Amino acid sequence: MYLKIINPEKVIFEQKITKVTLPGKEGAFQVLKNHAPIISFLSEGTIKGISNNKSFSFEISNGIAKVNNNNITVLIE
Amino acid sequence: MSKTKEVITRINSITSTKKITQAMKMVSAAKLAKFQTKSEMMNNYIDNLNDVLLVIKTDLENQIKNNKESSDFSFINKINNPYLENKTNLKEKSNLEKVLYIVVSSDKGLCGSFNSKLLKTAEIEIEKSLSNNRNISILPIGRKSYSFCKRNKSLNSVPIIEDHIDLISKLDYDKALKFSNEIMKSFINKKYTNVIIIYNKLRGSSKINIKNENFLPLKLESYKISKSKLEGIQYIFEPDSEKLLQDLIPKILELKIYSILLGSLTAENSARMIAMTKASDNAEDIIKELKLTYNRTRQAMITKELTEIVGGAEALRAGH
Repeated sequence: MYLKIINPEKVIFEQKITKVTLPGKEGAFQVLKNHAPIISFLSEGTIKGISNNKSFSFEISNGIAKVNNNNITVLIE
Repeated sequence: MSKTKEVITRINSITSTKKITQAMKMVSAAKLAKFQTKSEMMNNYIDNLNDVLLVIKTDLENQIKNNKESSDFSFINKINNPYLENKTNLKEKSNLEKVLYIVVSSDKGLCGSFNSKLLKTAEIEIEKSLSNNRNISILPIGRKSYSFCKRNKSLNSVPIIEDHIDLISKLDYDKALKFSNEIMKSFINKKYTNVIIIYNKLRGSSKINIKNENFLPLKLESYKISKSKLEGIQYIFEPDSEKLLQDLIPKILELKIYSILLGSLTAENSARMIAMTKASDNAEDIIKELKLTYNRTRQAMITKELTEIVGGAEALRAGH
């Protein structure tokens, strides 16, 4: 599974991950392998996940997440 | 003697001009690289946003197709977003069109036909609008665009908004965002019915295209997709797709202006780099020619002196 977090100025995060929790506008949700395609707005919160057995986290104020075919793209400001 | 001196002075002055044009070329090349990476990042982001928009749009269209009761209405009329072109907007349009032209030029010259071509296009466009009895305002961005609006007599009657001339001199993301929000607000408040941006955009590595883009109202029809890309994928939407669309539209608009300004800056530096390369080449040609002239006159002088000495010696010998 591949996670990419970008803002208009740079790529913030781009790595293979095993799982990630996103702060969805209608409640946080976790994405694991082979998650169904989803488009969700994100509200203020933390993106938390595990990559290479290490955890990572990002604070965001808002954004949009798109999950399709094990590719997760998060657009933040 | 005086001629060789003249030629030497010219050679010196052109050599120093060449040094300047070469330095400017290097500076623009560096700036071009900087803006190009920024622009690429931005476009990547916008592409991603557009992808999301397309997915949502396709979903909404399918929803409307499946709902037989509302099959008469095109989906745009169903979505009530102040930034979109819809029937109520169109009605007002027939009364009085208030058009805002945003003309994006550069601050500095020495970039070939970058500004002149753009401003010519803008002039033709605006005059055409004026003859259609539209109510027009111009918002120049960039010093060249501003001085053009001030100078041009046919635009005398047109109000010029002078608050944002320096927007591109030190462009950053926040400034651009603030600016787009201001424009969007005045559109919502019905100060303008249309906002059109005229700007330069780089195509490929050196070709510059003049773009004339309708910024507001947003036309969703222009967003199209290759069908294969979407087929078979049923997305889950959170919140539902209509709400998503409503939130997405202002976001896309906000970013559009920043990407346009970045694109214009990229094109400007590319144009300047090309102009300065040409200038350096021309200077080199002129220096070559002048050196040839210099050597020729020098040689001619030596020959002349020699014949004089020989002639004088002959005369002396004949005298004895």
